[in-house]
Amino acid sequence: MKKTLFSWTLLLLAGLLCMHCAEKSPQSPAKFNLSKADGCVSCHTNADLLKSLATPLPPVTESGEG
Amino acid sequence: MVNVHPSFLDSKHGKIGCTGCHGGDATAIEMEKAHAAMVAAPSDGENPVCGTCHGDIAAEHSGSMHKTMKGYYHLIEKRLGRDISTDSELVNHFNKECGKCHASCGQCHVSRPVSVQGGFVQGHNFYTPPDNKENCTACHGSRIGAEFYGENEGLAADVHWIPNVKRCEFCHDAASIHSTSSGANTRMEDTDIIRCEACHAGAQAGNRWHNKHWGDLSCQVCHSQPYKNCNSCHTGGAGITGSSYMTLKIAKNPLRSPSRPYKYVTVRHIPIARDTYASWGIPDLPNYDSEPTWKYATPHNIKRWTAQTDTSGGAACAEKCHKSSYYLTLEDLPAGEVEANRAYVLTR
Repeated sequence: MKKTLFSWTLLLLAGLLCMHCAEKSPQSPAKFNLSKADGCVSCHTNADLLKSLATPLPPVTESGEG
Repeated sequence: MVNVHPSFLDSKHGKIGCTGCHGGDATAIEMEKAHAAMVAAPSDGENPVCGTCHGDIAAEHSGSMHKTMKGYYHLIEKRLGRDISTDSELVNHFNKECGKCHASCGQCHVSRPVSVQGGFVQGHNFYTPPDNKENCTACHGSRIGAEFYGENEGLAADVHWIPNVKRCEFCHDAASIHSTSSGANTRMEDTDIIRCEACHAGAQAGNRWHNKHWGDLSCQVCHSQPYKNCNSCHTGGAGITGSSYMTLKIAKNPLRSPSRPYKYVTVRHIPIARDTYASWGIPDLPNYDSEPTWKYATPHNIKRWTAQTDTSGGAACAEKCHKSSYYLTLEDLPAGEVEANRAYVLTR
């Protein structure tokens, strides 16, 4: 009986530990709301995220063949 | 910045899925992994992905001048006197400086051209015809665009430009834009390009001036307003400098052919000098004089009544045009350009 109780307690502690770790180190920042189901779309419809990652373009010079 | 509008996801092309055209890994969370082996511009290159569904158009476009830049190649080679396609150094220069103007499917139907830094026009939604301002004159802007929209000071827009009614595609339909140009070397030799006479054939008998000059003068000789002529730009060299300037010049037709039979046409100065390709290791173009520096031009600022045709107040055509400053004469040419244009100048 004591062995069974001890095993259940260890299992419960391990479970809590895992949950704790998962909350501290999420696989992706919550603000980006990424998931595998969204694929490319979640990033490429998020203007704020894209702006934060974009490299500024060089100034445009006059262009044109004619 | 590749910001896709949600409406694209419900469109026909959106339903293909991003990786269907762009590759990459849609299941990856990290950007680097998701973008590994991704193709940013899948309509670029020798075998555009668009051809999977639009095979006939992609095949046709693969030979068009918008894709091949054949006109540029042809004239550089004529002035240089040899084929450049086997010279990897020259090809690199060409691709870096001239080749960036080539147009893929996406640069007309999805985003602005790369030469003007790209950017989606409708949030990755595909559209046809191309957007006149964001696509056509994003490239053909510094001369044709400004003329067509009436952006040159004191000059009116082309009579064929009526926003949302008459636009670029009114004359330049998809077939002619995608076309292989009938094997022509330059766009001016392209017989697939529409001629004014296609719509205005009946105008020949419309008045005595048409009766007199029809077939001898290109329409632009009488119906163009002054247009931009160029003096600098392009790759480099010190042989030609100065600002562009507005004028209208008439010369003998340097490209007379069954599709351009006129004896006299409007010509535009182009920014080419003997040392234009000095930065490519060509300090002096051996065959510089083989091509005119005042080039056959079809200005896009057509009006019925122009300084040439306005005879109000009793002014005669002879006063307005004949022997006028519109003629390109030897006196208009700097010493270095005389031989290149001698065959085409007029005398007053």
